[in-house]
Amino acid sequence: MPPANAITLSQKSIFILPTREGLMFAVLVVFMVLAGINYQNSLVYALAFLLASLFMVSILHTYRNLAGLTLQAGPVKAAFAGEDAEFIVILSRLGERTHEALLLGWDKQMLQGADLLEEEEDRVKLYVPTRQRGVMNPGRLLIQTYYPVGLFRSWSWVDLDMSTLVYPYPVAAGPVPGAPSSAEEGEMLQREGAEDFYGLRQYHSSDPPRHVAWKSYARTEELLTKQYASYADRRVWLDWELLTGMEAEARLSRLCYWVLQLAATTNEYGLRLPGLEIAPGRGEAHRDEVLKALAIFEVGR
Amino acid sequence: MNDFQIPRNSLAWMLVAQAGVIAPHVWSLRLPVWIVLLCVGCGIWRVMVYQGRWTYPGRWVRVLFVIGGVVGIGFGYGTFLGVDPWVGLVITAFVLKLLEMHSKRDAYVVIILGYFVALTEFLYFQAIPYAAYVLLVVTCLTAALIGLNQTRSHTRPVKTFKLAASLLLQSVPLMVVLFVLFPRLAPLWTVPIQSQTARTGVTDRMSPGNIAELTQSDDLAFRATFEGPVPPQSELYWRGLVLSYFEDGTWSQVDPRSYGPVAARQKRPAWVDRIERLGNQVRYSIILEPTNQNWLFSLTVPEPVDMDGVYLVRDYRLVADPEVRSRLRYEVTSDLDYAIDRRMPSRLYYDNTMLPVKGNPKARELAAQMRAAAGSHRDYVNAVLRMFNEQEFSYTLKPPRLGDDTVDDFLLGTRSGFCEHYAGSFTFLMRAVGIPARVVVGYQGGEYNRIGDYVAVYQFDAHAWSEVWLEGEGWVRVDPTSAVAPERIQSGLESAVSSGEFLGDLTLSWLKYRQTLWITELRLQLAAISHYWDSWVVGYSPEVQVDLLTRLLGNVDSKTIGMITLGLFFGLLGIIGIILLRKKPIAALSEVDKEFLRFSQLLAKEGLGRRMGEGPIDYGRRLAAARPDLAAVANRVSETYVTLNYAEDVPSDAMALKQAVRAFRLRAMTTR
Amino acid sequence: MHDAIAETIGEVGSVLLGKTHQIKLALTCFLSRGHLLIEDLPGMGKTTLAHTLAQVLSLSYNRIQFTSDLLPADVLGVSIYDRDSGKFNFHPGPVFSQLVLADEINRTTPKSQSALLEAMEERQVTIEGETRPLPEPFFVIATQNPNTQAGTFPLPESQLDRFLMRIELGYPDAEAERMLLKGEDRRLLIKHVRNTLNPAVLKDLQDQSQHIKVSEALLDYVQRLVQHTRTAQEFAYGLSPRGALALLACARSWALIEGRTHVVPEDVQAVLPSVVEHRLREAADFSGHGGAALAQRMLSQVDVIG
Repeated sequence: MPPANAITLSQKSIFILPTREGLMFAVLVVFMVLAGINYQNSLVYALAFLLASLFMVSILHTYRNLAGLTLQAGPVKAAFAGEDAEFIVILSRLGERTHEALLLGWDKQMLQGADLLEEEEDRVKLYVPTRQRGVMNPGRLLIQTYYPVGLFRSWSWVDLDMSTLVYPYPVAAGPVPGAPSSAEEGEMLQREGAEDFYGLRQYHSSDPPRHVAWKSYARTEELLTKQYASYADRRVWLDWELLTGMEAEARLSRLCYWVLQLAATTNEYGLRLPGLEIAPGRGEAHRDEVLKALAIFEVGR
Repeated sequence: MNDFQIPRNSLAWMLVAQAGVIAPHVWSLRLPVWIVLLCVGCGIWRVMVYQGRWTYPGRWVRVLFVIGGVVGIGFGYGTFLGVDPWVGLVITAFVLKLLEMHSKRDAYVVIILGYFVALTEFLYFQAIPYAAYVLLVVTCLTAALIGLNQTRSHTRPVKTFKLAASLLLQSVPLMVVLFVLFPRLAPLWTVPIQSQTARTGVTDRMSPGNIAELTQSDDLAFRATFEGPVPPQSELYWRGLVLSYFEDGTWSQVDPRSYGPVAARQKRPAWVDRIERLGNQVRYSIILEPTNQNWLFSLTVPEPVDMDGVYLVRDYRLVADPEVRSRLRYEVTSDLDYAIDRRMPSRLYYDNTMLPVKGNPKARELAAQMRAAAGSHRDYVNAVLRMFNEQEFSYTLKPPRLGDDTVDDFLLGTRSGFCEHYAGSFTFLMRAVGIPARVVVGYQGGEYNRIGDYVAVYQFDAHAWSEVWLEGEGWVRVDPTSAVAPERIQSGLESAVSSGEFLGDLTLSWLKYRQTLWITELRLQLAAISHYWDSWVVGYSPEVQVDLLTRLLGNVDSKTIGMITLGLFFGLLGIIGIILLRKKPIAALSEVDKEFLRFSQLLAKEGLGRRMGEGPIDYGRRLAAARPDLAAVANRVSETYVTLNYAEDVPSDAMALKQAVRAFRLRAMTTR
Repeated sequence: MHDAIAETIGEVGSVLLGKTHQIKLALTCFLSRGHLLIEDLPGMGKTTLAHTLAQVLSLSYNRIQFTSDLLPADVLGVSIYDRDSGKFNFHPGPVFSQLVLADEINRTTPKSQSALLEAMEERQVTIEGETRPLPEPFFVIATQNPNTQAGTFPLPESQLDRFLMRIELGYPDAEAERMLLKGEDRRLLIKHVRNTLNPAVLKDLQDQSQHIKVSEALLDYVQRLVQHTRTAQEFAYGLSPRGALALLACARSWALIEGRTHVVPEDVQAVLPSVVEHRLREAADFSGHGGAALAQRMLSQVDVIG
């Protein structure tokens, strides 16, 4: 059984009409019949009727090329405003029937081709240009085909209920306020409980025994204590208020830029927007959460 | 769309089809050389464009080509009317359009023009090989059409061709329905006549040698299908023309106008009713190959044919008006025993005794001597025939040349000749003594094809004989050839002439090998097929259609036929659709799964169907909870299913489950 | 043998009230030779579960409290120079026991985390060039506080699938809670818990679990489930082949615990949330699904019979 977010095309949802080429072909057949009549030529009739039958049979084939095809919403990727958002539609078939020369997309002018010949399924990547941040739902998807003879076009509008997040367009806004710049990143801060070996110093009686450099003691019989340090590790708050005097979208774009900058470092960062606060954190999930907050902040207001 | 690149697959088939549709026109020399060169040039140019070496011609070049093409055809053919210039025009358009394929739509136009060019082939030839050839070309065109709609990844032309063939094959049943039932209408307007077609068959002028020439051809003249038994060979005198005028050694029709169709067209003339029909009636239908002549062939004496454009004329033969341009089928009833013109009108008498004032003096003298020796006209006729039989006359396809006095030279000089020599001189000898006589030209005999049950008459069966008018008897057929070579009449030309003469000019003819049994058998088979093709497909005329439909459906009005046509058409389309759209699941459910699903569907009516994603044990438990009365049987079903489906690698058989389900049903019924 | 399993569950259940399902899952994890991650708030009985399990299974037990200043050496052990013998003596860390409770693993630095994770994966420890095997059997129960709190280092996603299962204990139901309130201190109870299994029997059970029958029909079902995670829109990425193997192994152990000789779909369904949820991430999804957890939705979207 098809999972949710999947639609199998059937006669209820498939439309079919002759194309302009199909009408041209019909006119050809009419001319041929006229020739058959006027020359009283049975074989001319026969050819005309053969092509007329081909015309009708091609309806079945064009319809068949869509019928039984299952479209399923695949994973979506978030995009930055102004980029193309990538949607994946998974085409699969019910039986052995092949489907060829399928065209799908949201924009009639920019349809993506796909085939289901030997393969059981095809993942079609569709790109939709984005303009504004927020949640984007491209609406009903058009799937159509002219196959096999192009005399008919059969099509269907499918609502897969796909949507994606559009993050604000990142606008370079200089170094992240309050964060160590990349030049400073190498600065070490001595810190209790840090993990990277830093140096040795004279043993004090209060030092924990596991920090004693036993190897050096074995060599020199001098008690030394290992010192540890760690890289500067500071929590950065990306605050709406850092960017006073700018328009909302401009602020979001800059915040977005900083998020991307910070996500590439080991720093933890949090976000403060009016009415919303995300505690500092790291990792992909955290970055996505922060970007999502930026994307949907006051959307539709 | 300027960067439209036609798919390789499509272009390949398009070029193949283009060569295919044009080839027969080139082969039969119907096309002027410059159009052929244009075709080749455009094809090469198109391939170069595809390979990216050349570009499309510029706009002005194309305009120049088009103007050049039109002007060329206008001058070349001298007219735009007629089939030939029209075919030339379509072909020119077709090849020029190849160089203007900037969009997909242009490609469609090329293909559609291609279909049209393919059709023109049928205006010239309709035999089975031609039809098969056109079908092949149409399949190529359809493959090109499919190629246009395939994605670029699809690069296997053979597969595309196969698909085209299967599409056309599926269309055939529908085509048959339309072909049989679609009403055949009369021409809506007169169409230009084919201009260059040669006239074939016997001609209206007979001079020594010209029938012998005809016998070098193994072309089919016509086929006759008899209702009932076929008359013996010696009765098969197919009359075509009556030649009563003799001048300069040549026999021709006397005033064709007065004997022609015009006179007969008005109303049923009085002489028709004066024909004395004495029985031995035969009915037969004839499919005549196109001759581009007026005369039709029939056995004496035919009844008038109830058919537009076919008339019985004064000398008891059938003519067609207009001439036979395409294969013609007509049905005739003839009485083989008859008496015609027992009372001869003076006009006819004059026409049939007329001789030139001068010439052939020796023949005239011979006639006078022989007549004087004979007691009656009848005796005289017999005496002349005896002379042919007893004296040294020989029958040959290669007679020596004759001088100016052809009859003298033949009778008293060379004494070897073909049927026209004997018929001509015999008629001369009759007229010389005032007996009305005339030459009849047509075919004699024919080959009976027992597979197709018809008589095939070939050009080499062409023959000439005489008719003599005898007081009290009317016109009597006299065949002087039978006196010289009786085997010609009994068993055909082949046995009458010396070996090597029969079809001597043709090296490869099926008919030369009439003595070889299997070749003959094969030839007869093919000929029979061809006959059926000609009578039922090519010859499926409005008359045949009405006849067939009346026989099949009785007398029905056109509305009913229309309904039947539509019903059959869409019924068949529906059947094809059902076959095409039949579901073919990848992995069919196992018997066990199917049985379990049926079980669940049974309960779904009570709202206790299995939910999506629900396992069989959970489902059994839920059932047991909902229907404690059925708990035991329900559990047995689910447990059996689990055991069968999960405790073994593959379920062994579904019997146990079926039993469990049956038990459940039984229990469910009794507790309800 | 099955009685022993039932007894074990009963014994642990007498300490950790109303958590039979979680206890079975933990046992499933052990029978499949996997490590367990428990994600829950403090005070939900994570330590109790680990400790009781160690007790009933007669395993040596150690608890490591992960803090921000914990060093890898604190987990694995150090070599200390013995002046008298003039040699380095290895002092094994707490990881050298059969059941290790790694408490609040997200509180320590990634460096210490990975020390433990590597030990889990390789079942041996390499310190100063010397490799020392860990005891057999070897289980790790790690706990993690799910709330993002200051000063934590959540396990990176790529490391999460080192744990065969991730479970949550959740609040006890009203009845269990009442008994808890009425009864003795749980920690005292642990001491009275009987040994129902021993490492030898446990090993035997682990071997048995591998021989539980899996039919073609069941493999079809598992494949459909896995395929679903790879095609459906709501998953950011699909389940890896390793995840699929984990699912099947756990379903086998669950079937063993349930006393079956073959796996049924219900077994797969029982273990699926614990096995796959930490291996999957929900795609940025805004079409308003939510509510049921990812795994639950998956189960209701992929049918058992296909």
